[in-house]
Parts: sequence; structure tokens; C-alpha cells
Amino acid sequence: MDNSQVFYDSQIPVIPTDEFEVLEDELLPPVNEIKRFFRVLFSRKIVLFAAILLVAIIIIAVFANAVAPFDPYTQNLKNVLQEPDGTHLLGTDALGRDLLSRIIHGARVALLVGFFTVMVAAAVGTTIGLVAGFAGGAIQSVIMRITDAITSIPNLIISLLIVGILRAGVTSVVIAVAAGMFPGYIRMVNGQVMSVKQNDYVMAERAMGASWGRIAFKHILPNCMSPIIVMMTMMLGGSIMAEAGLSYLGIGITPPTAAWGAMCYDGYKYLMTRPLLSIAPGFAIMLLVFSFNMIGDGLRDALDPRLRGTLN
Amino acid sequence: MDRLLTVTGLSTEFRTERGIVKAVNNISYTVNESEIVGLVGESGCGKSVSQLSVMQLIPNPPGRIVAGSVDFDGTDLLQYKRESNEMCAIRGRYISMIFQEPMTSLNPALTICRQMTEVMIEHLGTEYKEAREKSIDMLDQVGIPDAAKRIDDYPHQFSGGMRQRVMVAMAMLCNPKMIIADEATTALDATIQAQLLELLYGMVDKYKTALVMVTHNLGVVARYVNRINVMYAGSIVESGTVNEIWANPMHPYTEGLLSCVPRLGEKLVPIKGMPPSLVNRPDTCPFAARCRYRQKQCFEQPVSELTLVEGTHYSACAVKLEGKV
Amino acid sequence: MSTYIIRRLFHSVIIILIVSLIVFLLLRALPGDPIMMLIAQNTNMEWTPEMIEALRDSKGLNDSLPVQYFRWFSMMLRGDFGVSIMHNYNIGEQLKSKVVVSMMLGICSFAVSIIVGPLLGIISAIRRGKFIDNVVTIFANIGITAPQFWIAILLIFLFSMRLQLLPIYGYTLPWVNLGLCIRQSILPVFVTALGPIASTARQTRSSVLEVLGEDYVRTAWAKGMNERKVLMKHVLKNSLMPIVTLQGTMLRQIVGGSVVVERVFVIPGMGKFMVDAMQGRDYTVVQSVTVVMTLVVVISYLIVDLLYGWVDPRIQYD
Repeated sequence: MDNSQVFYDSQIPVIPTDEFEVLEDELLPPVNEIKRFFRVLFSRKIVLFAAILLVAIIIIAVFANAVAPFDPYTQNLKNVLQEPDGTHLLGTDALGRDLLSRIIHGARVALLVGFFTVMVAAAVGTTIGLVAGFAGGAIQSVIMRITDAITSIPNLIISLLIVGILRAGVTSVVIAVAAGMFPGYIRMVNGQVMSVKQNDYVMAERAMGASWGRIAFKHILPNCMSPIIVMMTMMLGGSIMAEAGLSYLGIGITPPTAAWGAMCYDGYKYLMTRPLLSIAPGFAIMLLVFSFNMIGDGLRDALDPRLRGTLN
Repeated sequence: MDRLLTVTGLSTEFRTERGIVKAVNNISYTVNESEIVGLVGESGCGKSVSQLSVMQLIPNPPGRIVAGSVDFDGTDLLQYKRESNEMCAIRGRYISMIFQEPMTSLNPALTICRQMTEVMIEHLGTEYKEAREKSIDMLDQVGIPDAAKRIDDYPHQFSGGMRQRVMVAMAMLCNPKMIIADEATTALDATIQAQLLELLYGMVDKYKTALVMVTHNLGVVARYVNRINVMYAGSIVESGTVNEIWANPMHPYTEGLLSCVPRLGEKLVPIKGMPPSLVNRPDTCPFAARCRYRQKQCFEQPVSELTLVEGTHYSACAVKLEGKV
Repeated sequence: MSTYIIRRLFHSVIIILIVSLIVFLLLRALPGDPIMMLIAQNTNMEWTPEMIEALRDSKGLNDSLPVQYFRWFSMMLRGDFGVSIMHNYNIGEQLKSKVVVSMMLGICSFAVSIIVGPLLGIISAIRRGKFIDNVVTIFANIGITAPQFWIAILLIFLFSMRLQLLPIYGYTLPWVNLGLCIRQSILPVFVTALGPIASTARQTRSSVLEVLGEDYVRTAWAKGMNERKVLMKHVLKNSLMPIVTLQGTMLRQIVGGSVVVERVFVIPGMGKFMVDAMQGRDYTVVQSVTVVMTLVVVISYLIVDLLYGWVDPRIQYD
């Protein structure tokens, strides 16, 4: 059927063009971004649970001296390998030290190592990533090839090598674990710089004479902020695990410092009779890592612009 | 002509962060056998959602068909579940759909051959070799040069226009009774768009297939369709043959749409304002805010249902129907 | 295609070179002179400074760093890993038996994770929000958040000590005693594979959910494919593509994890070899083990890259 006749010939009533007021649709109140952030963040119960757990662990770690029933380092050789009872809620270890108090103090070590590791890794990685992305050319190629090389060595092996050089201790563990993690930031920031550099608005700004430094702070860092924050929370868990692994192998944080990994290793000898000695500190590691990972998950959802406006 | 599809009181909702969006609100329309029906309206007015509802392809959650019936060839499609075998036996066999996005609507990991033959193998139980022959033949008919060779290519090796031709060929494979073209030509260049329209109309004419043409562009449908349904904010506001609507638009929105069709030597008159938000809408006329004929009653009374003007011409504007303007 | 493979191979060689250089330099920076330690061990001998110097010379420690590096690397290319400074054994010989043990466990773990991980992910994506999804999610969270050694301790306590079903430690090669080998492998393989299973399952789940929302899946539904065919033909292949790229990282995780797992279960593999050498400051051994481990990872990255191009037709080699 062909309506072309109608289409061209019919006289459409000419609409008078006199002015009239268009009524504005009353707008919905704008979404409060901060409120939305927290609502999305805590929309999953498990994230809320993880956040509460984390806050509790941090409080316990900060006030460890007040919370812990005993001094974690006082040995009592008359009272070794006690079963859990009213005084020693989780029993005592092979040197008669209160296990619960040692776990509480271990939270300090774990959090400290975790935070510093992530800070070092993020700072170093972001800086190198920025340099690589902006420099481009040969410098970028060299940096990225070295990054590729480092990411080809298993994390734990890198940490092992570094701890070997620096000798056991909290500082060297921080550096060692960070050495396994910073390539992640280099890759991400470098990628961001590369993609932002190609955006029209950055080119326009460059054409108008803005310096790269200005562009880095105005466009690139804000663009990287969300992924960096998410990566940092996720890596907090990872670095605590890595530290525990090193300490378990006896080359991380060494006794008498109350490190969870080392406590697991010491307790392992008495697994048959006193399983709590090695199982309880490990459980503490899991709780802490779990709470960081869950919060990281939640942050990723809350900061992901693609998920804005959806219900779940 | 026999009645093929009768949609009655179809409503589809989406649950979002900000409340319930009534994307399709109580629409009714019909399609006859080998009839071409146009469904016209602005972006976001619910045209696509209404068609996806007919096919039961609404993602759930957040979408949900809340009311209505879709009578296709004597069976109510909404009695079947989304994933049921009965529904699958109809989709692609009796009703085919062509989507707007030619770049993403074909599976990037499979060859055109596999994607085409699987339709015939699924519905008609054709042998692979025969299905392949038929697919090549169909690609030939939609104007893919060197079809016998190109059939083994992957989608990314085709241009947007060519992919949409493939989609047309795929839709025609089982010789369906009805094709829904959801903005099938919108994403293409103007010249390609015209070629594809000719092709589509030619194909449905050849195989006596009914066609529902969903578009925001009156120019795309005016020349060929038998019947136009104009949608605004989730409802059909006017329905009639092209002649009826062209000669005497009975809804201010249609009037506005017609004045937006470019014609030589005439000034374009845009419709002022923005379409309303569909979240938690009251049941008054959704167009009133932008309407030059609005009266007090438009803001107070519920919007009127589609009412017969004359012949097969229906409108939902109470003011115009009562002859007040 | 062939130029791509050559370029990729070249890339891998460069990475191995950089890694060996990094490892070489790091180990020269280690405190503790191996010669002095060696002397300290052999107190029954009188050591004159000349003898020490001669020993140093014979171990090649007096040459300049570049000379030492190139000698080591070119020897390695010929498959000769040199002799342990501390204990005078041939590293290559030792390494061979350790590599075999680690490979057995690593390949088993990788096979388990590559089968179980995607499977769990797919099931949990399809049954999203249902009971099985929650079970998989909890399991995956444990796998990601629990330290390997702790899982190992728990399982040893439960299965080996309490139930006395499995041996506590040790490893036997399958051609020596297959039954014992299987019983000894169950726990280490499970512990090693747990992390990769958990990560892969999570990734697969989100990847499947993402693909389910793609336009071409809607097209498949519109063509009248039933749920099984939509999933098998249209969702599966596309959602497993990103999982392929993940497997290189998973293998790296397995190689790294072997250090801890082999230690807990007292398995004479590369990981344990490495830690023992590290504590004994046996440079050359640590160097060689690290390079071998990296080689495994680099080769697996290479395979993954080529595999990805084979799976995803959009990748073009040029």
C-alpha cells in the first residue's frame, strides 16, 4: 500500500505559533549523592556486618592494652599449654602466655602492616604509573616491561627475596609485601592516563596550554580515585594474608612479637592436643581479611558509575 | 484480513531506586495478517518496552508485566512463562524481532552461519546442510553480496547496515507470521536507512508477513503502513489509518509530531517541553503540561480512554473529542 | 598469526631476562657472605686467608657482577644450574626431582580449579539469589579470605588427626605407590586449588551475569532458543573469554602458593626447596628456583594469550 499521495498532498492544519506557557514537570528531588553512596554501600547486609566487624577490630587493636586480660609477652612457665578456662579464655601457649591477649595484640600488628603496606604500594605504584603514562615512548615501554617481569614472579617469592635482603621485622615485611603489590597500581594508573590523555577535553585543554601537571591533578587523579580506593581496600586483605604467610614461614615478623601467622606456626606443633593455639589466630586473620574484602566489594558497587540508579 | 494479534490492556512496570516506572500503561491495539502497523513516539515513551512485553523479553527483575493479555492467533501469550517451551516455540518461529542495535545484537563469538542455521534447526528441525543452503539463499535475498562466502564470517567483519540485513534475513528464515522491527533503522546512516526500509517492506510484502514498525520518525512509516498507533508516556494516545491521522489529527501530541516532519518550504514547529517522568505518575493526561489546548479538566480528571472518532480513528484527548477547540 | 607468536615469544624471553637480572641483583644484595657461612660450618679445618680466597675464586665469586651474571645465565640456557655453594650438590639434579613433585601437585590443582571454578560460577549465576548461589558465595569468600596455611591446618586437624582418614604429611610419586600418592595429594591439592577456585568462581559468576544482559542474548531469546541453548551456545563461550585471561594469574597463584603448602605438608617440591635455600642463604639455588618458577608462569601467560586469540574471533594478530 502506498500512501505517498497522502503524505505529500494533504493539507495539515497549520498550527498557530502563538506563545503559550509550557508547564514544567515538577522535578523529583535530586538524589543525595552521599546518602546514595552509603545506602548502596550498606545495601547488602554482609557489608554492614563487615564494617561493624572492622570497626570493632580497630577499636580492640587501638585499646589492646586495656582490652587484653593479660600482657601478651609475660611468660609463665608453670602454666604452659593450659586448656581454656575462666581466667585464660582461649588457654595459654607453650610459654604460658595468654592466647587471647596475644591475638588481641596481633590485631595491632596485622592492621599496622596492612595499612602501611597498602600506603607504600599505592604511593609508589601510582607515582610510577603516572610517570609511565605521561612520559610515553621508550620510558613507558621500559617501565611497563619491568612491571610485566615483576608480575611474572609469584608474589610470595618476591616478598621472600626482599625479606631475605632486609632481614625479618615489621618494616621489611611492609616493604616486601608492598613490592609484590605495587605493579597492580602501575598498570591501572598507566592505563587510566593513557585513556584520559586521548579524551577530547584533555586535548582541548592541552591545546589551550594547560600543563601536564594541571591535567594530572584535574582530570587523571580524580578519574583514578575510585579504582584506587577499591584496589586499596582489596589489597589490605591481601597484604594481611601475605604478611601472615611470611610469618608462618618464619621469615616475616618473628617472635616474640604477636603476629598471627607466626602464632599459627608455633601452635601447629600442639595441634593434636591444643588445636585452638593454631586455629584461633588463623580465624582472626580470616575475619579481618573478610571484612576488608566485603567492604571493598561494597565500595566498588557504590563507586561504580555504571550502577547508578539501579535498585540492586 | 484475519486478526493476528490482539493486545488488550497491557501494562508493564519497572521497579527502580526512585519508585515504580509505568513504562507501558494499559495499551490495546491489534495487528491483522500481513498488515503493516506503525508504532510512533518519542524515545522513552514505552514503544520498545511494549513490544518486548509482547515477546516476553522484559528483563525481570526489574521489569514486570502487571496486567493485560496478548492474544496471538487465538492463544494468550501471557499465560506462558517467560522461559517456557511454549513461548520459545513462538518466538522466532511465528513472531520475529529485529533490534535497534546492529553492532551488539549479533553474538560476536559465533559465525553468521551458526547463528542463522540454529533458528531453522530449532524450529523446523531442518538438517544443517539444508539450513545452511536456505540461510545463504536468504542472505542473497537481503542483498548480501557473495553470501555463500560471507556466511562463514563473524559479525565484526560486517558493517552496521550489513549486520542489520543479516538480522532481517534471520528474522525471515522461518517465514514468521509477524515481525517486530524495533527502531531497526534508527542507528544507520540516512541512505542505508532508506535501503533497509525498502528491503524490509519488500520482504514482508513478498512473504505476506505482518510487520510492526516501531519508530520515532513518522517519515519512516508514513509511506507504507496501514495503521499508526501514536504512543506518549506509556499510553497509546491516538490510533488510526494514515489518511485519518494525517487529515485530521485528533490528539495535540500527534499534531505536534506531524509539524515536526520536515517539509520543503515550511518552518518546523517543535513540541515544546520535555516528556514527563514516568515515575509514580498521576492518571491525568500526561501531555497536558505541553499542550496548547489544555483546559482545567485536563489536570483534574483522569485521562480519557481511546475513544472512536469516526471509521477506525481513535483518540484519547477529551478536549478535542468534545469539540472544544 | 606466526608473527604474533614470534613477537609474543620475544616478549617472554625479555621478561625472563629482566626477571633473572632482578633476582641476580637482589641476591647479591643479601646480607651474609656464603663463603663465611660455609667456613663457619666446617670448623674442623684450618682456614688461611689464601684458602678462603682460593675457595672464593673456585666458586667464581671474585669475578665482576656482569661476568657472574652472564656465566650463570648462559649455563642455565644449557640446562646447567650450577653447583650449590653451600652444599656442593648439582642444583640441576636436585631441581629435577623437586620440579617433578611440584608439577604433579600444581597440574592437579590447576586442573581441579579450571573445572570446578567456572562450574560453580555458572551454577551460582544461573541460580542467582537462590540457596545454591549463597552456598557458592560463602565458599568463595572463605577461599579468598582464609590463609592457605590455616585451611591446611584445619583440614589436617579434621581429616588426619581426628578422623585419621588421610596422612598428615609427605609425598610419594604416583609411579612409586599410586594409592598412597592419591591419599597424600588430596589435602594439598584442595588447599592449593581453593584460592583459584574461589576467584574463578566469583569472576565467572559476574561475567555470566554481565553476558546475560547483552543484546545478543536477548536476540537469542527472540529467536526462540530455550534456556539451555541460550546458556550453552550464547552465554557460555562469551562469558568464559575473560576467564581464560584470568588463568595465567591463577597459575601464578598456584606456583606461589606451593611455597606455603609444601611447607605445611612437608612435600619435597620446589617451594620447600626454595624456603630451605633462602634460610641457608644458598644464592644460586634461590636464583635458579625463582627463574624456573617464573619460566612456568611466563609460559602459561603465553599459552593463555594464544588461547584467548583462538577463543575470541575478534582478536586479530597483526
